[in-house]
Amino acid sequence: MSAENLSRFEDLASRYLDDALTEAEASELVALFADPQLAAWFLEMTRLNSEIAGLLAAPVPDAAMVELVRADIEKGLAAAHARSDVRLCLAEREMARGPSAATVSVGHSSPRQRRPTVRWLARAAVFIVFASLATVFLVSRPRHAGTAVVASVRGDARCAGSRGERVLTTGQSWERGETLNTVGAKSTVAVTFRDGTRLDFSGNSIVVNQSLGGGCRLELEHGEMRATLVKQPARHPFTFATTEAEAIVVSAKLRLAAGAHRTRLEVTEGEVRFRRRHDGAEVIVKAGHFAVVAPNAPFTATPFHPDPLHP
Amino acid sequence: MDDSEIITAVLDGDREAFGILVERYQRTLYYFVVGKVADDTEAKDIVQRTFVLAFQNLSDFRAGESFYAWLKGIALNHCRNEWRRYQSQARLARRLLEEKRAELELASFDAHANEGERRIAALRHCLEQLGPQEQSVIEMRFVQELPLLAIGEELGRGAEAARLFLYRIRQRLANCVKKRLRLEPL
Repeated sequence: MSAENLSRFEDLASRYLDDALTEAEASELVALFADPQLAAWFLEMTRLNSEIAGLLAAPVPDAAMVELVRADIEKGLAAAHARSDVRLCLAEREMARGPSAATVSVGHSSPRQRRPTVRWLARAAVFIVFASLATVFLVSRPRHAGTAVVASVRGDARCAGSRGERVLTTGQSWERGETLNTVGAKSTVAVTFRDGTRLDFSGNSIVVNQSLGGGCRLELEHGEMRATLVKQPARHPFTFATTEAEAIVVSAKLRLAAGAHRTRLEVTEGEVRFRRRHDGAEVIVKAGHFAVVAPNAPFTATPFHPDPLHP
Repeated sequence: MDDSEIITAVLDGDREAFGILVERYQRTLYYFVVGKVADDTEAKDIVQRTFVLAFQNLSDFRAGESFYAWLKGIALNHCRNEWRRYQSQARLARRLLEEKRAELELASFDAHANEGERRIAALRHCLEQLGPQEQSVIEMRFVQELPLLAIGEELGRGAEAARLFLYRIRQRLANCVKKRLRLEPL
């Protein structure tokens, strides 16, 4: 390997590791992989980069991982039960149909000739149902960082999504696209995310999990929530949105209340970027401060004294 | 309770007992996996999926063997599949460098399969050997995730200087890890 190649390779590899590589430079770097030593060194550096990031990242708390694994296992078992129910149901239908099916004339087929066809149709139906269930199971597997697990429920809480509405119980997962609802003033739900972030909802909360690939995002349509956030990646902050405002958080402890045309944010630890949605104005709300977005209310961060009755 | 007692309990219907195995091995498994995939978020996902698959196939686990070794085998399959997925996505998106990276990873996967935890232990040691300014730059880049410009400002230099400084630190770490692994053979 020439000194010139090595020097150019180091410059390009460094740019790649720090997300500063252009497309033309990427092609140039690939061309340098013709030298196996440079290719091996590139792999070594990218692995090391992942390892440094992994070593310094906040670990998943043991309890959170146990909950996530448990939720996945329960879901898998539920899907397996559903599959066996479908199989049983189809078998029963076939048995029930057996004698009478012979009386239904289909073209020129004799009953003896038709039975294999029915069996194949049933098998095809079972296959389609299996495939659908498997798709539902795989697509909804809580792999995504935006999937939370219900840590506790008091009173009545519901979750609605594409698969209908269900009563929430401890251990279930709350996935993107689903709406969580605490029914009644005294009902509360606590959820935890894989990184240990915990959210507590109360006060007839209606909250939609809108998390996408880039980070967690929740829309609090109504109600109140308290959040204790484990440090999020700076490029993927946690966003809490209401109709009027957005709170963009990397690491903080906060309370957010959304009512008719009014959103109030209180920060007890860390700091939060609080954005007014109608004009994009922003304030930084630091620990010990609150801010309100409401008609005719000044949009500033103001010190507050935590209410001793509602810590 | 040792692993085999827990596994027997789980197979006898005590599903909750499986949580003890998750608590016991999830962090070690994470450090085993983290250098074998593209980022730490994917590593956390793979740890989660590994435990779920282990539970679903627990009856296949052969008594007397190491449960952790079995978990590592499952995790390695996930990592390999993850690079295949990465490769095909890169191909679809016409990202040649990423496709090539996945190809290189897959080609050398087996040779590096058993390195995980030892490399992490070596890296931990090497990070501690860095000077205060180098440690501070690593913290800014990997923990605070500051952009190069901000790191450069902290150093009293520009973004380019920060990038080159970071690369030199990475080189030092890579050489230190290699040396330590040679000093402490398996």
